[in-house]
Amino acid sequence: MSKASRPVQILNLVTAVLMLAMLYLVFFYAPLEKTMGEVQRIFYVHVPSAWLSFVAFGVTAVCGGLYLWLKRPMLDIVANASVEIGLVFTVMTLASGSIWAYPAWNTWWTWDPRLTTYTIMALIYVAYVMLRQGLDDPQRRARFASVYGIIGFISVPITFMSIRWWRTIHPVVIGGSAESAQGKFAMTDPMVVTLLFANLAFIFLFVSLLISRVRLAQLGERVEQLKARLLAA
Amino acid sequence: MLLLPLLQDATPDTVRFMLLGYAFVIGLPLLYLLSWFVRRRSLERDLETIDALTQEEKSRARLTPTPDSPQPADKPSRS
Repeated sequence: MSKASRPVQILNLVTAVLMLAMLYLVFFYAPLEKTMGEVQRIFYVHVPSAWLSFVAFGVTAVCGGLYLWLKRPMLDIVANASVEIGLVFTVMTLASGSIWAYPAWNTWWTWDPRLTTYTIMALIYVAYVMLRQGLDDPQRRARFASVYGIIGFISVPITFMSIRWWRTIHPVVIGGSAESAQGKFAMTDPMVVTLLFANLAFIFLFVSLLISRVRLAQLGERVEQLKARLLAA
Repeated sequence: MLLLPLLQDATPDTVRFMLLGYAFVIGLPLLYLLSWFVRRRSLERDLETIDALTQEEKSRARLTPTPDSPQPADKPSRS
């Protein structure tokens, strides 16, 4: 793979600096939460990774729709890359949430509406990856994956709204005043600043990862094309 | 009022859970990046192999005479 272009290198550098700054804010700026203790600091990576997983699957749906319209292979590459990165963020969210849940709820896992809908969403996108691997024809694969990516995105708003629609013990970060939200907790200003900064850092991380993953996929495509040409000769 | 702090629960010690959480949150993307590195190396190796095969094919095509290519002139006999 050719060396990353200058803007991409700068983006990667900015992302690394932002991630380090985020860790500084999490451990040295944000105050200790008195009820839960140090484990509450997981919140600053748990929430952004969950939000970015939603964004990643949103990118897949948008690129899927655009692919069906414009038929550009690049859009399918971006959609696939976004699902892969979204799944990494999803696993990060599930694992960090589970580790946070044990001292907070006294259990690693509970079939709470948010946890259940989020797991279903994750499985839907695991199935997206499996669907792609099961189809050999690139055009057919891209078409099917695009349609699946659009339909699969229905799970995202359901997951997001689950803590507002049903009674749940999961904290509601935005709109915690909802009556059904039992797990709400108040945040001080430094906590809000740290969370917002963490979100910014994770947005940069997502974009950096997406660009690098797309470049890797392009290299893969090139190798496949050359292989096909060699076999045809 | 002075006794209030004594009635409140002490903040629980949950450092190990925080460390476990951050180990996972940092470790997982690093593993993912490692998988990229492995995939990229494998693709670059494939590319090198394809290049080598293409070069070999070209040089073989250059050496193998085709029916259209001019035949070498007969050497004059010494007798």
